[in-house]
Amino acid sequence: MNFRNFTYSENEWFFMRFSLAITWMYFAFPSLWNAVEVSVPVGIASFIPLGIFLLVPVKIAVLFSASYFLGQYVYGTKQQLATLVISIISLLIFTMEESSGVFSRVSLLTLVWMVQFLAYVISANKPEDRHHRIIHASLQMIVAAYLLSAYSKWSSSGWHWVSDAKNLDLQVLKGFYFHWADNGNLSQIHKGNEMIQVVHQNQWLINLVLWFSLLLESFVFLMLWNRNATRIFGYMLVCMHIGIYVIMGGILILPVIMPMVIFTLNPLYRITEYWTKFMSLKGTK
Amino acid sequence: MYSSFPNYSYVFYLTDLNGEFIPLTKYGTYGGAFSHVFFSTANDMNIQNGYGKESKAELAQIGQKMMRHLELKSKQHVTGIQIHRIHFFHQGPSIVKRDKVIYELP
Repeated sequence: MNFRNFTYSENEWFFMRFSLAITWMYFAFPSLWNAVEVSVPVGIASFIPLGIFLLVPVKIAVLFSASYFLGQYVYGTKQQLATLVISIISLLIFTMEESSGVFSRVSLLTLVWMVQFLAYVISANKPEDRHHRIIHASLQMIVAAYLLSAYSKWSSSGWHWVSDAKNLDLQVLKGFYFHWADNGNLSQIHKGNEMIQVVHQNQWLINLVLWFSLLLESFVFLMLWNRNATRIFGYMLVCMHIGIYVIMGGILILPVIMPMVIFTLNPLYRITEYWTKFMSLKGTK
Repeated sequence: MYSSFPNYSYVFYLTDLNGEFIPLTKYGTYGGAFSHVFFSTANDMNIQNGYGKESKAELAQIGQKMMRHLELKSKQHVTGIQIHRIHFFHQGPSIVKRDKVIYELP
């Protein structure tokens, strides 16, 4: 399972960089701009005074710096420095966000920047296959995240994770009630009640889906076999997240899904490729 | 996704002092985030949480911090609201729903 089974064109790599930069901006910029408190310090916030990032001039300076280095990263200049700076900014912003008491599951985004920086450093003398190594390192980080998720299930519940699913209905209700608490839309409560009926009437199907999720996460390292395996696992993980979204009342863990989709399926590149083919076919007629 | 499926779940929502529903979005937050604030605050204060085992005094302590969170998020002085907790759990074959005011700001 080494990176030599993975070769990517410069175009694919460009769209991965572009998608990652946009995704990170989508999560990091509002997190920083809307930050108002560091009341429950976690991680490095326990010994670094992150409160300084609550000052508007500091927020503006960080947003400008991040935009500059994201630009450098996407356009392929000073990428090593850019990934280092964005790793640090990402760590600070998201630690500050989680120190407000809200757990947004954004850690994977920071870790992807960090492994990319490490891969740039390690492959500094191998410019010919550098981007393959960086993409592969990012994939390894994504695999590690899903493996950790599987490990937490095995260590907390073991084989009982699936049999305990008789309590899944409580989490399903919670998901729909959350939406009701947001805006008072009573239809969310009706949808929640309907969904738990579906869960109760199809417990065997729910157990099957849970087994699928647990095994998929446990064997996710197989996606590092070759590019075909990466794509197949990418599609299966997307199916798993869609299942969670439908059953759990709209829970979509985008900060985890987005890096996974970018590095396994690279949708922007695919769309561009299909569009180019379509246009050239149209041109030949 | 969940690493375990415990026999409880909590939902937090707001009302005025007459029990009229107030959307969380009015205060710049949403259900999932507000719930995280409850658990993060309880853990930070070393209060055992979940399964409805928090005492009335502990809930009030956590509720006070949640109210402060609302003030900071909405950048406005918050008055006249109650924080409710819905506690779902299984009792035998049925799902029980208990609604409780955990903190009130007159």
